[in-house]
Amino acid sequence: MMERKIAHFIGFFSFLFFLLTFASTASAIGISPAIINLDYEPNHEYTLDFLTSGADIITTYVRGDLAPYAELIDPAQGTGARSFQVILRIPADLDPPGKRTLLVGAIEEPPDGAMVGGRAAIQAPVTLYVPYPGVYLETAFNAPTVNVNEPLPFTIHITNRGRDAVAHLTQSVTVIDADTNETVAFLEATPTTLAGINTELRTALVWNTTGRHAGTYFAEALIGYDGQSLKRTADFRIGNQFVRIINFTREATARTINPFEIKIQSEWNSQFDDIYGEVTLNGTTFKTSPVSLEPWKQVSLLGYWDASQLEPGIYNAHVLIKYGATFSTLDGDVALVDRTVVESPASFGLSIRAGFAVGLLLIAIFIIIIRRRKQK
Amino acid sequence: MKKDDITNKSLATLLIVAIVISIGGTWLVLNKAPGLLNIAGAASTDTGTATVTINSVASIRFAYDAIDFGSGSVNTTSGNTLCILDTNGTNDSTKCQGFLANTSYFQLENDGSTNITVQLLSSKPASTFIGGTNPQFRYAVFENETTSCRNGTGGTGYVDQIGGGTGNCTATDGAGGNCTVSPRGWTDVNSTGVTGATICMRLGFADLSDSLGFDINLTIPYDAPAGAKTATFTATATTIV
Repeated sequence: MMERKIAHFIGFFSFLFFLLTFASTASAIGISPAIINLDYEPNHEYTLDFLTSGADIITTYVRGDLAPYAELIDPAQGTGARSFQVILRIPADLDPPGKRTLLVGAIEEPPDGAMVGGRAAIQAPVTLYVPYPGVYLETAFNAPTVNVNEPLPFTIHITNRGRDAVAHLTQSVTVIDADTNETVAFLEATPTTLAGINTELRTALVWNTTGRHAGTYFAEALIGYDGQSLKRTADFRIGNQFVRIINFTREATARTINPFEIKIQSEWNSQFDDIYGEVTLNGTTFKTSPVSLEPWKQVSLLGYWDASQLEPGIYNAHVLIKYGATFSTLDGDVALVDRTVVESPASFGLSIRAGFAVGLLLIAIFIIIIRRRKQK
Repeated sequence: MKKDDITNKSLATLLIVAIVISIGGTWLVLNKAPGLLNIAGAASTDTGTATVTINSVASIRFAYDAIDFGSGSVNTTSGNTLCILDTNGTNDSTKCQGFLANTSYFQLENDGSTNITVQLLSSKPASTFIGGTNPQFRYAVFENETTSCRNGTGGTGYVDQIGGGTGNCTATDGAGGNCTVSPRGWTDVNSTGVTGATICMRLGFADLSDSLGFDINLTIPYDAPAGAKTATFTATATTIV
């Protein structure tokens, strides 16, 4: 009898051990580096080193429009984690110009025996830009949001994807007040030159916003090059240290304690900490829990209004939000209404069912205990 | 001997169990984490400069990679001509007989350090996977963890169908970068091309927001050829440039 029990124990744990060891855990497949950006050089040979990992059986490959110029050197195809190389030979006259991509990939084997199985493949892009004939500018313009009286750095990012250099490059920014449509500032960079073949230029033009009011503005960047021009625009805001009360709880239940919510929004470009609300209702004041408020975001403050002694009716609320040394307020009515809570038939049925289940469980446990005692 | 005391036999049993677990655990550690054996000593007096270069890694994992409905048939004796199975647990016992109900779905996880675009390709369309008259082999994609998939512009929104309606994102939407995951409703699997259809433009890598799921749905006609059926989904992830 004891030997059988030991055998059962060993059998059970062996099975558990088997499950832990051979349970189907799908493998990952990875490649590193995840991306490579190459500087274009005609008639050049690039040697690229990769590492693949994860699965036990991995096949590597190259795809993409640069694949005809790539040679995969991976003598251990079909094995597990390993390093391999790709040789990319760029000819002297690669055509067409623009962004060209080689995809270096690794793929795992599908799972054995599955009716519908999944397998993963991973691809690392290798990119380079073949220059266009003449001048070809790619531009980006950024106007960040700041607080009142803070300097505002506009940035213009230019990349010349063309073969030819720009002999005379000008950059300027015009700032317009979105409320009045009036031009409020004009900033200009010193004219410069820009070489060809993927040469980049990043220019910052700083606007002193001292004395400017909070609100929305509009900026227009003008980039002039060899008699031609490009225009880029951006909206931005100057923030005010102000928290707006959007709304608060307008209806609550009489003769009970009610949650009271205040929805607020920041109009400031920095975070507020320890914002809380004080609500005065029917001569009594309660506070909400303090919260942090991220720039330009909305958040709700939560407090509790003890209306347990109050009858239905309309009550005037004075809501005050404190942040730092300043505050915002909003007044409004809150309706206290009667609500009778009746247990629904569904929840009643649920309680009965739960009670029945617990009863059955207790009976089952009781029977097991009695049986064991009899066996002994 | 008191009744509550542990007998020698019980002790022997517990000892055997402990030995099995110990040996098994040791074997697992040595096989699954061989790197643990590489113990390096530190220099005692010399000084040195440590440099480290961290490379980006693109990596994807099929966290759940196999679905099996078992074997069965269309319940033609009740006049049915179709049996529909899916990974939402659909297995209509009046129309299907013998198949397993399945609620497990395919799960994909970005476990690298870069954002990736994910495409999905089936090795077979419905006609060759199932066969018969009007078979269907469909799939639907969802975010397994919230805000895992961003659209082409980095947002979390998705647009309705072009031309109105509130159905699934269309292929055109996906290519335009306006869908988070696509398709959201049952759609025939894509079995053409090298990498298939884009199901997520930008799958993030933050630990709690890096997972997609997709369900499959099979419609088996009564005249589908008998035999074991297999198909493979290939999920191709590409680092976002």
